[in-house]
This record gives sequence, structure tokens and C-alpha cells, in this order.
Amino acid sequence: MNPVPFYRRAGFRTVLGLLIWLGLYLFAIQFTGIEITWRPILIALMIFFGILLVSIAVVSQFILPVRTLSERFNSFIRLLDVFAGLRGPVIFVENGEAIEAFKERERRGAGVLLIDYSSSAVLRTETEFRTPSGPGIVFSAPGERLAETLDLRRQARLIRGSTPNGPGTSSLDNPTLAMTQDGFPISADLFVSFILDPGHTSSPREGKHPNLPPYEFYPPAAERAVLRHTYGEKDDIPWTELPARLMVDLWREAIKNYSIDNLLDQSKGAPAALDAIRQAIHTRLSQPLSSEITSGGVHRKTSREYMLLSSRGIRILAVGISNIYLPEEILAERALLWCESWSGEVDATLNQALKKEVAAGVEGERQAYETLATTVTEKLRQSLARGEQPKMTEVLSGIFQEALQLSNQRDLVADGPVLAQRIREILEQLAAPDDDPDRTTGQQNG
Amino acid sequence: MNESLPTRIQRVVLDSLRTILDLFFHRGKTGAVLRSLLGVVSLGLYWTAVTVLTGFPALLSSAWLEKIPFPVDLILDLGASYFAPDVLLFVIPVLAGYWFAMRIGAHYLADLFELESYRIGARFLRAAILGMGYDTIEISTREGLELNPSSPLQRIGGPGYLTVHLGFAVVSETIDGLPRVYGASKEKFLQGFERLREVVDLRDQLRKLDEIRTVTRDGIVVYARDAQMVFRVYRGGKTSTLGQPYPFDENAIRKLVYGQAVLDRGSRKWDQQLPSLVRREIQQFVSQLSIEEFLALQPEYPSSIETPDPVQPSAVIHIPRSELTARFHTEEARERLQKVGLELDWVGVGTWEIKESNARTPSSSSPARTIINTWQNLQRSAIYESEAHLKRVQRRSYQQYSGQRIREWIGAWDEPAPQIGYRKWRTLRRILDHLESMRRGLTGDPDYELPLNYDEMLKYLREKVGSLELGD
Repeated sequence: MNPVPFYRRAGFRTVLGLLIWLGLYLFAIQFTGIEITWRPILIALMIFFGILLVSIAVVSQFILPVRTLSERFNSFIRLLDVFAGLRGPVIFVENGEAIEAFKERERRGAGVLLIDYSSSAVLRTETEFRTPSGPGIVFSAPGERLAETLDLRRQARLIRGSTPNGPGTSSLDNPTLAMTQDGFPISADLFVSFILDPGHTSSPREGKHPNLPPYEFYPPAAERAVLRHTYGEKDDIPWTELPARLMVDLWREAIKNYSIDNLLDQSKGAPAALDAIRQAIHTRLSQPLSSEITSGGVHRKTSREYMLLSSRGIRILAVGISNIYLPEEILAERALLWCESWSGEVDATLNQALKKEVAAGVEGERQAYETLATTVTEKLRQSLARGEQPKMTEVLSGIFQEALQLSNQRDLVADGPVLAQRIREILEQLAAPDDDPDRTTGQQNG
Repeated sequence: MNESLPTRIQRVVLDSLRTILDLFFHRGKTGAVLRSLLGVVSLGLYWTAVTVLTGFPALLSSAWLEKIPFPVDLILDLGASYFAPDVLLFVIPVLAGYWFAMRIGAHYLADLFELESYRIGARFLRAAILGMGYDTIEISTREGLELNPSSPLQRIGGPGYLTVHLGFAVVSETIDGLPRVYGASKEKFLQGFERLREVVDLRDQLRKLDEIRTVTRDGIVVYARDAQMVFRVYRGGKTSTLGQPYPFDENAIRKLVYGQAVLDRGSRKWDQQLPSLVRREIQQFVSQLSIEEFLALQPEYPSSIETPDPVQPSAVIHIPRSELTARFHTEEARERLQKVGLELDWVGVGTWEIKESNARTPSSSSPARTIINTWQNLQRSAIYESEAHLKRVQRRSYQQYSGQRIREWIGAWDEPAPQIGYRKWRTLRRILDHLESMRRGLTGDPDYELPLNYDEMLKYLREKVGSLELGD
């Protein structure tokens, strides 16, 4: 970022403005008969500083949302301090974050904190913390500085899981990685919602009342949050991180009491394991008496996690577990099992149906045997029953005539009309006189 | 309790002082007008007093004034006296003092609110103290508050004017922290330090969720695609009219704005509440079902399925909307949404998809492929078992066998033969073979009786064919 040129800085322009006013004054004094001595200058300075004092008193009532006499007076003093170069830290706390300049907190004069209605703050000195302050104006004494800001709004943290990569998967890669009782890695999306304790157990205000500020400030909770502020090896751990860490820990503890099959129990009517785990975790984080989560059920005991959160002024509102992630190999195995059970029954049903179809085809063929055997031999059998000895031509003609009748009947023979046409031609040929070997043989046999 | 006189006097004095100060430093237009008036009057009186006390020093030359008719010359002469150097010597320090105080105040505000320019603070103070140059913010888009980064009204707060266009509502907090909701309005005056919090779009909103990963209770991953929803701010049962097209419930707006959770990446916008809710609801819906129960919700495929499609990389399933959307339209769901300040018009789930597992080998089964194949097999078996189909198959088989046999007889006749006699014999021979084969097939059925004289006929035909062979 490019530094602002000195001639554009507000301080330079203010000094320049004062010099211009001084120049105007000196320019004006030249046209009077007055000798430029200490007297007129002193008078001018007295007027200047008198008006300055009064103007500062007026302006100071509008730079902060002051309402009480004490606040008005303190605001006036703070603005005078600025004029005198004794200014302390001037910080606006908005939505739980301090809006401040670089090294603002290092100023040691008397300062001001303006805290919006969704925040609170705690001041400190070298050796002690001050009472937490809620929304409004806080006039800090010399040596006091901002220790910590707190967000009064509802917080939520979503810790996303991912598919475990198999043996050796690190929890660094997968923050919600857990192990089942039978050693399978598993993960899920975890959600936790919490708030700085509002001082009661009913639902937080959150703008429900039009005649009250939207958020509630409960000083003991803010005090606890600051006093029990946790520090890591390299950085500090804000109070908003603790619930998510506890959530993950309880999730891991719960999962190790379930085998993979219990977790994915698909029996109808059985309560979903994840739902039971979620409820137990919620109880453990939000009630002094907790539930120990096992696959055999829920057992009550004092909740360490609740005590931990309560001692830091944190109240849990809701927890959620969704989107379970299994290793790919497990998913494939379960899919295979499901495929076989799901499709097996259907395959058996299909086989049965196919058999029925084949049987219907066989029955159709059998009926065809019956019809052909009965119909095409009708004339021949009748002839034989009368004691006749029909010749080959007569036999063939009889058979083909019956076949012609069959072919002419609709839908009894495939390609019936085509065959019928051909049979007629054969019958014409049979009717034509020819060298009938049967006739010759009959004569030979006598 | 009886107060002592000094205490009572002190209390009365303090109360009076408080009242006077509250009146003088009132943050509304009334206070600004009063202060401006007092300031102007005070300055005017002081300036006049200085001019009088210095004896109306002459600034303009008398020779020039003589050329100007009366009373203009008098007015000019008196007026010019106000700007005589002798008078300005006492006025310049006053103006400089006032100017410097305002600069200090502007710098202080810039420091407090980390403003990019002290001018923002200066504009604020001019408006707040003297009622000059009130800032105006116009809200006509959802991002209305982010479009005015240099507005004192946006950065610090009132006083100023707010204009809210049709279809929007703005939430602010007064100096006492009380939430206020402004619907469509023109130049609504915001009191001192009344800060704007959020803009809410009152119109119907459509949001989409491209992909939602869900897991059935038996661990099968199913994706919901293109979930969509139409929702709006809860209207409290009010109907929209031309005059009031976007009614709203103030309570709902407050819940919506102040009930949003702060995530690790920042505050969630109010219009993201329902998509999150829908996502959770869909995930919960699926997690309570096994994959079979889930698939049981799917409608049957039409019976016209012929052959299976080539293997697809994923199975797309259509679940009837009513199963899932009914969950969002129950009384319980409606109340849950009202508690957060919303009402739902419509939700559509889109399609469900089961993707292939990455660990699947080419030959292994997968839910995706199994679903397609199994559902097709289910439909096929229903078809194959149906009475109508079986009758058709039987009939077709009958027709085909009859036709085939007759065709073979005709074929035997049509085959090349040296003479007609041979042709006849060959044809008869073929017919005999078939009649014998039919006999074998029919006698397998114990309930069947051969036609009368069938065996005698066969014997006669055998003799006929055999004698001719011998004779040949």
C-alpha cells in the first residue's frame, strides 16, 4: 500500500488551516493602527481558546452516543485530551471485532470504547482484568487497554468430513475422522451452534422484542470467557473454537462404541444410530448430567464437557451430524452385498417367469402336434377305416388339402396365406396325370 | 425518605441541567435547528457588539459612498464595518476556534470508526450539530448498504434520511439499541447514531442447491441434484395488494436478521437460511431410509421396456415430489420456518443420482447399475408372468410349429427330383417322419389319446413308403 503523501494527511491540512487563519489575522491586523504586541495577540488567543473550549464541549456531545451527564463530561474530557495530545486508545467494537488502527492498544492515555449492540468487551491493565462491558460507551482510564472482544450473536461451526483414505489416514487431513469399534475409519459432517451464555435457559432473544436490544449481555459469561481464554503453542484459541473441538472429540468417543454394522443398521423400525449419537452429544454439551454413549444404550453421569463450556460462559444451542463418509472399500463391499440381496430375489423371480414362458411355448408346440396329427390325417384315417387302400397321390392330396384348410384359417399357421397359395399349386400338380410309381407297384403286387 | 435541603437542591439542579442539556443536544432535527439558531444568533450578536464597540470603523471610502444614493450608502457603510480589520481581529479567532473544534471532532470520529477520510466525520458533525447537509441513503437493491462506503449514515449512523424502495425492508438500531424495521418509505429521518444493520428483500426468492450429498441408513451415497425452493419473508397472514405488494411481519424480519448464525467465515446472510434448512431436511429424509425403502418411492417403469440400456455411469432416479416436499408443508415445518421468519412456497428436489464408486472394478456390481438392471428385470418378470403374454407365446409357438411343418412338406415337394413319382415319395416320406415324431411327442402326455386309427395309418404309410423303396 502506498503511503499517503504528507500534504494529503489530515493532520497537515489541519495545521495548514490554522496557519491560514493566523495569516488572515496578521493580514487584518496590519490594516489597523494597532501595534503588533503581546496584548492584541493575547486577546486573540483568549478569544480563540475560549471559543475552542466551548466548541469542543458542543462537538464532544456528538462524537459519541452520550446520554448521561457523566458520559457527556467524559466525552468532553476525551476530546480535550486529543487537543492536548494525550489521547488514549479509541476503538469501535462492531460485531465482536475491534475496529482499530495499528498499535492502537499501545496508547496509554485515557481512551474510549464504543461497543455496538452485538458485542461486548473486557479491558485490562498490566496486572488485572476489568469488569466486562456490554454494548454502549466505555471510558477507559489511563493504562487500561482492550483485552478481548466478544460476539454476542449466535455462532455456528460446520466441520466437514471427507472420505477416509484407508489405513494411515491422518486426522489432519480429515478433521472428523473417527474409528468404529471394529476398526473402520469413518467421518461425517458435524455442526454445532452456540452462543455466549445469555444468563437464562430459554431461547436467546435475538431480536424478538421490539423494545429491547436484540442481543443479551450477561457479564458473568463474558468474564468467564475471558478468564478461561485458552492459548495454544503458537497462538491463542478463541472461545468460539472450543465447542467444535469438543464436538469432534465426543463424536470420536461415540463412534468407538459402535461397530460398522450397528451404525448402518438397516432394520426397519430401528432408530438411526446417528440420531442417537447426535442426541447424546447434545445432552452432554448442554446438560450438567450427561449421557455416555454406547451401542447398548445411554447411561447418565456428570458431563465434563458441559462443565468446561459453562466455565467459559458458552451455551450450546444445537448439534448436527450428517453425511457419513465411509472408506471406498467399505462402500464398495456394502454396495455389493446390497446388490446381491436386492437383485437376487428379482433374478429368481425372473427365472421363474422365463420358465413359464418356455413352458407356454412347449404347450403351443404340443397343441400344434395335436392339431396337425389329427387334422391332416383325418381323410386318410377315414379311408383306411372304410377298408380302402388309397394310393400315394390320393394320400398326398388328402394331406395337402387338410393342410390347405389349416393355412386358410386365420392365425393358425404362420404365413398361412403364402403357404396356402403354394399348397394350391401342389394340389394342381398332384391332380395332373403322371407316371405314378404307386400305380405300377400296385399292379406288380396285384 | 426525607432528603436534606442541599441534596434536594442538588437533585433539582442536576435534573434541570440534564433537561437543558438533553434539549440543547437533542439528536433530531429540533436540536439541530435550535443549535444553528443559537449559534447564528450568538455569533451575530457578538459580531455586532464588536462592531459597535469599535465604533463602526469605516471600510469603504466616503468619496465612493457619496456616489451611492441613500439609504444604500448607509447600509453598505454599516455592513462594510462588520468586515473592517478592527472588527475582524475579534471575529477571526472565534471562527478559527469553531473551525478547529470541528476539525478535532472530525479527526476523532475518523480515528474511532477507522474512516478513510476525515471528511466523512466532518459531514457527520455538520449534519448532527447544525442540521446542514443531511446524508441520504437509498435502498433499492439487496446490497444497498454496501454501495455507500463513504456515507456517514452508513459508517457512523444517523442523523440522515433513509429511502427504502418497494420490495425491501431495512433494519436499524437506535442509539438505545432498539431494533427498528422500515418498509418502503421515502426520506425517513434516522435519529442520531441510529445505525443500519441489514437490508431484507421482501420479494419471493428462488434459490438452488446444485448438489446435495446424502447417505442412506445403510451407507449408500445418493446425490440430490438441482434442488430448488421458492420462499419469502413471513407475511403474518397478510395478503399483498397493489398498494402494499410486499407486506411483512416486523417480528419475522427481526428474527430473520438477528437470528442468523455467525460462521467461521463470517455472518451468514438471511437468504441462505432456507437453503441450509432444505439441505438438512433432505439429508435427514434420506438418512432415515435404507436404499430399498428409498427406491420403493420410485414410480414403476412403463411395461414397454425391451432390452436393457447399455451400462450407464450413474443411475438417475425420479422420486415423486410429494414424498419429500410433503415434509416441508406440514404444520410443524411451517411453524419451524415461521420461527426463523420465513415461509415456503415451493420446493423441488430435482433428480437423485447414485454415482459409481471409485473403488469399483469393471466387473463388480454397483448400486447404479444394479438399480437399472434390477428394475428392468422386475418389469420383465411381471410381463413374462402375465396371462396375456403367456397366451401370446403359446399361440406364436403353435403357429410357428404348424407353419414350419407345412413349409417343410412344401419344401420336400419343391426339392429337385428326377421324376414326379420320386417327388411324391420323398414328400410322403417327410410327412411320415413328422407324423411319427408327433406321435412320440403326444404319447409323452398320459392324458392324451391318439386319434382313431393313427397307428394303423402310420403302419399303412410305412408300408407305402417302404414298398416303394424296395421297388426302387
